[in-house]
Amino acid sequence: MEKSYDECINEIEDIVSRLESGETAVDQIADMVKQAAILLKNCQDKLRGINADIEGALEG
Amino acid sequence: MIDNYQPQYTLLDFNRIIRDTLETYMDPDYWVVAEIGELKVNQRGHCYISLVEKSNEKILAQARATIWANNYTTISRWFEEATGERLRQGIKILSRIRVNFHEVYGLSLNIISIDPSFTLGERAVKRQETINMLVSEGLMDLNKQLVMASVPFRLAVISSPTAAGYEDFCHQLDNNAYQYHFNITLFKALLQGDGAITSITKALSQIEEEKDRYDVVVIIRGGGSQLDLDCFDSRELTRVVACCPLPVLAGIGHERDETVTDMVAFKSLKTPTAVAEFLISCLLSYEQRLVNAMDNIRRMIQNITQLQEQRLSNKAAKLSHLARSVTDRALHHTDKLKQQLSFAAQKATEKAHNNLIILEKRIEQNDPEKILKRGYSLTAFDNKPLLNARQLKAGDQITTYLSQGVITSKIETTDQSKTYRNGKKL
Repeated sequence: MEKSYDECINEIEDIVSRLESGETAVDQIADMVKQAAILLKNCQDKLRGINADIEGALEG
Repeated sequence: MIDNYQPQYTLLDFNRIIRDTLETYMDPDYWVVAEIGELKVNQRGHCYISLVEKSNEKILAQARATIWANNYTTISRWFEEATGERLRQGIKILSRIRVNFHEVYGLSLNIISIDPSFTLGERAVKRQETINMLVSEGLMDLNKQLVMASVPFRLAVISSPTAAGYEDFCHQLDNNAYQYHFNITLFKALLQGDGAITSITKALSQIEEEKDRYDVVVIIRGGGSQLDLDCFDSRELTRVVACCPLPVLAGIGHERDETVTDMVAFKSLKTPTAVAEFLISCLLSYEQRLVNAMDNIRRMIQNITQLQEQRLSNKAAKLSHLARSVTDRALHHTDKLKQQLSFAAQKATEKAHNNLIILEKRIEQNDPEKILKRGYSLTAFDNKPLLNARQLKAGDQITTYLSQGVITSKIETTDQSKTYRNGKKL
């Protein structure tokens, strides 16, 4: 099931917090950053999609 | 018994006495007012008239009179030209009468002229009486007060089917430029002469019985003769027209002053064609009103939609702006998160990297090869690093690893009391 925007944002913030705490296992850092980057792109895509949808709906 | 002294006359003598007496004592002629009770013209053109004087329909006096053919043509034409109607039964005339007495043919009254101005005056009096009656009974404007249908197309027409006016009327309606369709129902009637009043009244009565089927009543006469319009001044007919429950359009078609029927009708027009044009104009006017109304509705709808479109456009702009600001904030947040993530990831990897460097140094520091190069050696016993002399006894063989080469030694003695601390032998 696709995650909601807020769920994605919360997860990214959690990853950032865990990275900032300095207690993250090194092996996990890359995976965590990759996961966060995917979530970030997902959120940005959603936002751009929303803008496009709004413009399309109002122009239509 | 016959009185012997009473003179006796022959009939001829007697008639001569009458003639002489009349000629002696009577004027050559007299102006006499009387109503034409009956009028006949024979084949030779002589006109025989029965003159009467009535009071409340009771005949008070009556006399036969003649207009000889040689006079009749002139008198009747002059009368018609002056009054607009011909000599006929029922009209009052002022005639100049010469009294003749002939020994063979007896008494005769010869009309030698007729004064048309008297008849005109009479008619005017009658007409005024009708008007007075209608005014006093409140009927004068009754028909005018009706409201005519906006689209008067169901027409009850009172006319003679053979009248030129009726033909003109139908032609005008059938060929109107706007292709309006009229439903014409003809009620045949006489529109002149003695039977006109009864005939028209009967037709109006028939129409009244089915009034819901019609929008207006049209009375058409028109075409040809301008005579015999008196019926349209009659009390009976004008009262029925005034009381008609439908608007009456009069197209009686005449040149003289309007009849009382014209006055009481909803609308009076000069000719049947003019009535048709009026009806067409009513439909045209209605259509024009409809077109105007549609234009107004269209304009109003345009105004409303333009206003609403403007409002919606404003709302859309506002919505777009709001949505944009929300998503912009969110994008800003994600950008910030990205930076944080990058920073955190960098920090996390830097820390790991630093640890790695420290570890690397530690590993470097503990690398046996490097330690050996610094002059240290590694002694192993039984393939394990030897840390304590107590592990050995005399005769045990140990292996010493140097930076370059390996030494194998045999233990002679061990001393556990001596140890190496901080580069000093203790």
